[in-house]
Amino acid sequence: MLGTSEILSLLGILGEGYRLSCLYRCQDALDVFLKLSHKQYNTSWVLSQVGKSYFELVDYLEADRAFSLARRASPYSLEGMDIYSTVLYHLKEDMKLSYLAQELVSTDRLAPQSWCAMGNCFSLQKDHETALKNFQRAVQLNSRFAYAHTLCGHEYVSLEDFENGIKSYQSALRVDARHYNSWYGLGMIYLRQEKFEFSEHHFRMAFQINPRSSVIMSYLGTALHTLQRSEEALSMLEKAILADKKNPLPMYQKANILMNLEDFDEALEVLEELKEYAPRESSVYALMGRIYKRRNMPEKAVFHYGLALDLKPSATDVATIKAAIEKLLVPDELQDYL
Amino acid sequence: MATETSEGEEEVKITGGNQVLLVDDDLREMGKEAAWSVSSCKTGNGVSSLRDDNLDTYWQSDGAQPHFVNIQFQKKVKLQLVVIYVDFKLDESYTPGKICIRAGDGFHNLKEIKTVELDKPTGWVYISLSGNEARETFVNTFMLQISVLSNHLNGRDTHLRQIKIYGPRPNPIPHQPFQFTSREFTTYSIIR
Repeated sequence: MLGTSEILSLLGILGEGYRLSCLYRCQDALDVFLKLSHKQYNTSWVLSQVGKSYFELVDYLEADRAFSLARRASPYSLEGMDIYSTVLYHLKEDMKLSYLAQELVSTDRLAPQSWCAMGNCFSLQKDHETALKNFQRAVQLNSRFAYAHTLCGHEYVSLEDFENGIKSYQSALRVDARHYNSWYGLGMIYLRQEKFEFSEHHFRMAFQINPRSSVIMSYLGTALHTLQRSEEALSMLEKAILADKKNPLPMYQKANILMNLEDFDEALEVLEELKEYAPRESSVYALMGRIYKRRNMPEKAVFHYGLALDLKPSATDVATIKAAIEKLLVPDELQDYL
Repeated sequence: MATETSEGEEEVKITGGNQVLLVDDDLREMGKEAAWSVSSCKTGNGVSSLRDDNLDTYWQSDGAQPHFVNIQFQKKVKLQLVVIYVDFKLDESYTPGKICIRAGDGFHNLKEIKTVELDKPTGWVYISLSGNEARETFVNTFMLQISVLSNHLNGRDTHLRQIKIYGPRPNPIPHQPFQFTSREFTTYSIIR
């Protein structure tokens, strides 16, 4: 009798944790899993669930830790290894990622997880064609594996093939309508294609499924701003900032919106704060330069543009920034000619 | 832009060539989005040989110089780099000696942007399209024309084995004025 109730309470905790993580209440799920005994917590299934929860909370370092413990506990388990490879992708751990992919493929070359890891590995090297082939193999092996469809979608987007990207995301959603990554992917495509109503709709679907993700909130805010609903956008971004203090994205987008609303002082205030958090982020200085330029403070603009250039921005941005500096240095009466 | 600039005036001389195709991470190949055509070709050595990723096949022109390769895009694109594969050891007098690259909206208003001279090259030859000034880093164009003005050893027809066209990768995040550079920003900026 005692044994039965103990097993029931154990399964109760496991079930509750799994339920919460499916609802994307990841912090709550983590708290529930902590109630487990040491022995139960250190099983690979629990550890990979913990890793998944940290992954959803955008805490990739902790996720990496949990997943590597899970792998140590049972090296041949494939559960959650697709997510683990994505964690390593985000952390840009190319060596660890390629090792993981090799190991998984040699463990089971017929499992979709193995090929997802392999694809992530190629995607990190910016070889998107090969990555796509690997993800397509994962789809072939198990067409009910939603994440592989989504990853195909991401690769199509990287290759700027948006039509097929949309198809892949939609196949993912046919398998699992609660797979919010695909709703997000669709939102991103429509945002790029400037179909703003569509974009807002899809980000909102993602948001309804995972209402705690600050990243989704940020993009929903951006979509609202493009629809000229700046009030709503700013309050959504405010929510995003509160949801995850470590995420700099909503603050940056807030500054961008404030600049477009010509509220320069407040925008600069936000950017000053961001500068403290990420002192090596070129785009922060570039945006400050742009604001100072619009406020007719050329010295400060040049200073910030210069800082932005020192932090190795992309070639496109180097060209944009240098052109902006050139224009600043040209006297007003000549500006019309440029 | 109406004003004439000095671009295209200077000539670059290129010797050698690279055995491995190595291109900056910020760039991506864009040739597959374009319609490719050539001024003339020998049967079996047509335009498709330029794009088959096979260094053993080649396009061979069949007519009077200059020989053209036309690359037309459906929309205006930003381009930065052209890479061609030529092989003096195999092609000898068929190897291009002087190449000129023009850009424009269509055949009617092509304007020269770069002329390069090749000196017995074998391998991948990089031809940057950037001008001297910052705003000339990229060429914004609908069409690119690569013309072979002359060959080595006064050869008449020409061989080109591969052509790759590169432009900058677009910002992974739409509607953002600048690309993110630090890890703090990039890890948070996408969901995967």
